[in-house]
Amino acid sequence: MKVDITKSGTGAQVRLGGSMYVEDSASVREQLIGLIEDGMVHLTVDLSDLDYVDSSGLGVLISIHKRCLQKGGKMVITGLRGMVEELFKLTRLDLVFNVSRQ
Amino acid sequence: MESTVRERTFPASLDCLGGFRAFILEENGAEERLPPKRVAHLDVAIEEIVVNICSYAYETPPGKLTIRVEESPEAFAVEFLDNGVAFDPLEVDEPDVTRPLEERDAGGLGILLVRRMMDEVHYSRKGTLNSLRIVVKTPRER
Repeated sequence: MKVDITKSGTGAQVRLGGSMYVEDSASVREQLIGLIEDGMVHLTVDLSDLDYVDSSGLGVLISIHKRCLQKGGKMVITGLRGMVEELFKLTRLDLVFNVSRQ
Repeated sequence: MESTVRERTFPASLDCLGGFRAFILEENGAEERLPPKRVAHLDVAIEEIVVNICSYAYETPPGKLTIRVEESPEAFAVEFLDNGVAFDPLEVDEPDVTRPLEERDAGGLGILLVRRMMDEVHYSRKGTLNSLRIVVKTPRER
């Protein structure tokens, strides 16, 4: 899978692409935790190029969201579509995450 | 079309995930028989179940995982058989997905997805084996 990170002050734009399988989740989690520990607590996670995610990937997003809140920040999800959007709806994560439709 | 059953035994290791997927989706024709959306659902279910078995079934991994694919005119079914610790995932309470995210645990979503995406999910204990069987009904031809 592909992970592109653009840093800016206390924020970062994270673009996930391709397929996020269980073996990718730990690496994504580490990278995002690294951003938060470096003070980038306002994350925008763009999923428009993500074709597949499983429960381990959804779990990473939940734990990163919580960590951002603990540090006084916020995580926003953008680009929900296709199969990934369906998984968000089945688990109702589309209702509880900060999802931007732009 | 008559019913057919094919099975193969793999090491219960995440290194074999590609092999499990290829056996079910490609060699056994799920990709030809089912609409793309249903294949995607099956793909998610396979990964969730296999990851659970490979990660938790055996106290001394890797054990073995037998996959049995049953094709009939009405359905495409996959049975996962392991002889690890007895575990019925359908008895575990589903996570409460109506709670705020801050109060939610990251776990338990895998089996929830399997239940939501498959037409049927059955667990049974067969001697020393855990059997988890998922079913996708085949669309009727017009």
